[in-house]
Formats: sequence, structure tokens, C-alpha cells
Amino acid sequence: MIKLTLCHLYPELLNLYGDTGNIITLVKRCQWRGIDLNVVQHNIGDIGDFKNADIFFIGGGADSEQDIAGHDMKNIKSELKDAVEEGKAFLAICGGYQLLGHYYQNKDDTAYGLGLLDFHTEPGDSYFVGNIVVRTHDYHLVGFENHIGRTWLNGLKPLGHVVSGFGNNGEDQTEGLRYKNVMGTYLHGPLLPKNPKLCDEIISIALKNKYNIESLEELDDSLEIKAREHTLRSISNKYSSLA
Amino acid sequence: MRRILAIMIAKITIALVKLMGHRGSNIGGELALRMCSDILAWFGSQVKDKIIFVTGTNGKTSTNNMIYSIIRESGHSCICNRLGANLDSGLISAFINNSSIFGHIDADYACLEVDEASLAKVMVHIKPHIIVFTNIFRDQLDRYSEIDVLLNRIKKSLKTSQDTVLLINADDPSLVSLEASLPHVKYYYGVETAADMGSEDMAKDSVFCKKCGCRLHYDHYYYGQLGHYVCKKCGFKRPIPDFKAFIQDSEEKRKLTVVGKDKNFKVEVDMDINDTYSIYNTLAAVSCAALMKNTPETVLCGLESYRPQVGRMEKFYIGKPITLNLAKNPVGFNESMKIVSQDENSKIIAIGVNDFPQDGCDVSWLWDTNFEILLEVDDTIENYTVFGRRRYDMALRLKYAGVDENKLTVVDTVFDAVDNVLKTKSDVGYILLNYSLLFDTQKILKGRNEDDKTHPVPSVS
Ligand SMILES: [Zn+2]
Repeated sequence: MIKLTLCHLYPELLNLYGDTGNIITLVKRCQWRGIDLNVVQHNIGDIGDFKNADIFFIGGGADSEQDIAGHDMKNIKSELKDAVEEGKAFLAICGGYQLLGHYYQNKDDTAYGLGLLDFHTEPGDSYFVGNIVVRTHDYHLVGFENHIGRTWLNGLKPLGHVVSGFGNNGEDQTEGLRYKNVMGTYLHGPLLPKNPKLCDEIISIALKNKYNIESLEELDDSLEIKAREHTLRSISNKYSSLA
Repeated sequence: MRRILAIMIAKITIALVKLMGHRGSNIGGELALRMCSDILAWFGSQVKDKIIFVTGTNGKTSTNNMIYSIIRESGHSCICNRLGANLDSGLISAFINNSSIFGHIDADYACLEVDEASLAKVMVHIKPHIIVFTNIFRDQLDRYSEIDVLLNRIKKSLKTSQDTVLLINADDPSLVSLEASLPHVKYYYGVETAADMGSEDMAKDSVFCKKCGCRLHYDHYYYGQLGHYVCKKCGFKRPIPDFKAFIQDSEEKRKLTVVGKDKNFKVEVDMDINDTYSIYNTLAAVSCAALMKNTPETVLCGLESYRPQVGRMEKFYIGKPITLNLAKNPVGFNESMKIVSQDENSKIIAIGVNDFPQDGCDVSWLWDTNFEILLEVDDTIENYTVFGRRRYDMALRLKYAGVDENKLTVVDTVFDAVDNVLKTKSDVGYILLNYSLLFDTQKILKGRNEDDKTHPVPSVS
């Protein structure tokens, strides 16, 4: 039996907007292929033992909760750094994404990020809210963004480029971040159900790392594709072919 | 002794009448009144705190029931003629229903809807602390002169109870003209926003100044004679309300904000039912509650519990029992699904999700909802039908909860969803949906309902 482990970072604090949807999707898409994905939680005060973790997930939270998580995360910074450099799969969403940078700044005070990667986030004047379409290296992501932070990558590679919506900062057309197998993104909540290719990419990375397996069994994604089509068409008819 | 006998006989009568399937709102009270003429005064004297009357042409029942809900929410006991029996006999029945066999009642408040024409008769026995006036309209069959007779009669009865506080609709020139000469403490409520209230019965008749007979000039016109008026001849005009209502419209949603004179009192209400009556009824009830020193929180909770329970586990019968349930968020959906999962019958379940502003544009919460609970009874579920603007998000959610795609049907319209519920072979049907899908779905179900008894009783006013 092929077994993988997902480490969910701070689920008690960072669980805004249906982040669980991403975990459910990873678990199910593994299960449908006969892969056993074991989900473990890392909460405040836990020691950073990530030897068995193949996939990391960190979601978004309210500012205050983000601060608490950010402080605790300093205790596991070096372990996380090792995992990232080893090329482990890491999906970071919204607040969780911002935390990986040098700092994210709120309206009134500056909170320091983990500085795991060289980028930063500043507050904007208004929220970027709405559906978003992003072109990545070989597919399009469809999602929903809702953030006031403006993220600047300082030369790091983005996850993709904005086709419709705002993305990192509403200016340079970039969305999210890609460093080795770390994927940061503002596409919050249930990102993976409607983006099965991204989900499968994460599973593939984990399989390659742990078992050196290159191929991934195809699944019937016709419902996912219809859901993508439906959402894309609701944004604009011209995007429906991107499903 | 006569009193106790009257109450006993009335109680027995009410019980008998109920047994025969009637509501019996008046008969018991009538009997008691005939046997004991001062029975109303005796009941009234037992109310510990305050007695509130709600009177006027339209909106009495709704307004009174909202006030009742708020009083109950504030933790007090209250006598109320909730079904709208508003003649003296109806009031007596309301007391009798809440009294011991010896005629003792244990109530902090009484809020009573009183027929505007019976006000004089009732006020001989009870001097209320507050009278809420909704409006004075002329009925279709009435003549102008009769409205003046009515107003005079009301004025006369008010003079017998000068300590009563009057809460008056500032937008109604008839009511306002009535109170001008009275020494009572008066509070006014009125709608400030010049919103189109979308009323179907805009009475286009001219309205004349009750003081000088001149035609009133209107800046805004709401319905009937309600609006912002001024008499350019004698200066009679709409008083500045103590409780001001502001209406804010967004896509398919109406928000009513009531602000008290001291600005500390502010209540924001999402209007479920979108007609002018509800706005005035809510405004009157909120103003009355504010006069009684209720907090905005209590008022909101009271209004919430008053809300006609439209779409809350509403039952229909169309070839099979069908249950409609509104769920707005994960908590609501989880509750609904718990009920579904406890039903052992074979069933079809339809789930509708929209993403209009009143529903929430972001449907991420679907993933915080425990749809997995349905899988526990999956063998009793014949089909899962999803509809609404976010039907594909819902379909995916069910797929990832573990629902077999062969049992999953995505339909484009509400009509198709209802159709699928009806034509799928099953013992029962469930339709769970969020807000903006409710009324369309309910309308279709009502149109096809076979059992009249399952209709909720329409509210009277
Ligand atoms: Zn005049």
C-alpha cells in the first residue's frame, strides 16, 4: 500500500473559508487511486518533526490568529526550511501564504512573517474580492480571492499569471508564488476541488519524492471540468474554453 | 364567585369549541363578558408591568405579535391575542386562556391588538400604558365622514386616559391631526428614506388637511395617505419622528434601520418580506420596544423569533410528503441534514445553492459543512439533485463527500429540481436550499400542493 502523510499546519487557527475542502480533495483523490493519505495536524506548541510529512498545507485566518500562528511558527522555521529545500510539496493559501514571506503588514501594525522565502506583503486601500482565473505553466486555475494584502515577489517566480482578477498586487499580473515545490496563492478556500490538476501535481510531487513514482493514474474528472466550465462561463463566456 | 363561575364556564366552552375543531377566539370571552361585565377590568388590573394596545386600520396583528415576541425575548411573560381576535370578547378570551381556573393570571405584560372601533369600549375597562397607532385608513366601503366619526371616537376615549403614552405614525396625517389637541405624552415614528416601497395599492385620492381642509402637499408618498406631507395654508405638517426608519436597498435585499432620538438606540433589520406594510409594522414594533427600554439586541432577537416561519421545515404533499427547509450557512445545513439522516424512508434530496449577496457571494462554506453525514444513510437516498447558481460547486462537494456520481443529478432550474423530486420514486422528498432560492421554490410547491391543510395559516391584519 502506498502511503503518504499530509501535515496540516495550525488547523485550529488557520481555517477560514472552507480550507478543509483542499484536504478533503487531496484525501479523496489519493483514495480513489488506492493511495492512503494520512492527515496529521501541527498545532501551537507542537514540536517540529516533519520527517514523515510528504505534503504540507497551511490555510488562511483572521489577522490576530495569523499573528499567533506566525509567532509559533518561528519555533519550527528551520525544520520547515529543510522540508522546503528538500523539495517537499507545500500548499499555502492566503494568510498562510503571506506568513511564508519576510513580513506582512496590516493597516496599523507590522507583523513579521517567517521569512522562509524572500517576498513581502503590504496593505492596500481596498479588498481584492471576486472570481479569479490564473494561467500556470500548463493549466488554468479557477478560484475566488478576497484579500487586502499586496504581495511583492522580489524576483521570485509566481505560481501563475492573472487572466481575470487581481492576484498578488493588482499591478504586475502575477498570482501566488512558486519556489521549488512550494505553492503559495491567494485563491482561497476550496481551491483544489475545481483545480484537480493542481491537486494531482501535489500528489505527484509527493509520490516522486517518496516512492520515485513518475506516473499518476487518470481519474474521471468530467464533473470537475463541468464545474470549471460553469464558473469560467459565469466570469466571461470567452473563458469557457479554459476548463 | 360570579367571576370564577364565568371563567370556569368560559374555559369549558373554549375547550369544547376547540374539540369541535374551531379556534374559539371569541365565544368563551363573549360568555364570560355576559356573565360578568367587569371581567376585563379585573384581568387588566392583574398585569404587573405594562399594558400595550395596538390599534389602527392595517398591520395590527403583525405589529402586536412582533411586540409580543420582543417582550418574550426580554424574558417577561406576556398576554397576547395573537390570532387577532381584537374585540372586547377576544381580549377576554386571551386572558382566560392564560388564567388559572380561579381567574388569576401571572403576567408581566399584556400586549393587545384592539379593533380601532372598539377602542372606546375597551378603554372603559383598561387604561393602557402605551397605545401604538399604526394608521387610520378608510376601508373600501367607508365614506370620508365615517373616518372622522372614528377619529372623534378615538379622541374621546383617549381623553379618559391621559397618562397613556401615544406612539403615532408620523407619516399618517389623519393620526397626526387627531393627536394635536391631546395632552398625552406623544412619540412619533416615520420613514425617512424616499424609497419606492413598491406598494400595490397606492391610493391616488387627494388627501385634505384635517385642520383647514386644504389639499395636502406631499414631498414623498408611500401608500394610502402615508408620506411626507405639509399643508401650505395652515402649516400643519408631518412631525419630526422620534424613531426614524431608513431603508437601504441592495440586490434583492432590503435593510431597515431604525434610529431612536437619542442615537443610542439603533436597530438594523434585514427585511424578509418586502412590502410597505412590513416596514411600517416593524418600525412601529421596534419603536414601541425602544420606548419600553429594550436593547437593540433584544429587539432583533424578538423580531427573529417572530418571523413567519416560511420555509422552515415546511411540509407539502405532492404525490408524497415533501419537506422544504431553508438553510443559510453550515450550521443550518448541518441541522437540516441531521433531520434527513434520521428519516428511515426512501428519499430524494434536492439541494439548492445560490450566490447572490443575500446568500453570500463566496460559497467556500460548503466545504465547512458536513455533507458526509448523508452518506451514513446513502442506501435510503435514491437521488441527490443539485440546483441553483452554484449547483456545480454543490455537485463537487457531494462527489467529494463520497456520493456516487450515478446518483447525482445537476439541473438548471428550480422547476427542474422540483420536477425531479416529484418524479423520482421515493417515499419522501427533501428540498434544502439557501435564501434567494426559497420563494421561487416555495411558490412552485404551493402551486402543486394537494393538501390544503399543510398551508400555514395566512396572517390577518
Ligand atoms: Zn391646513
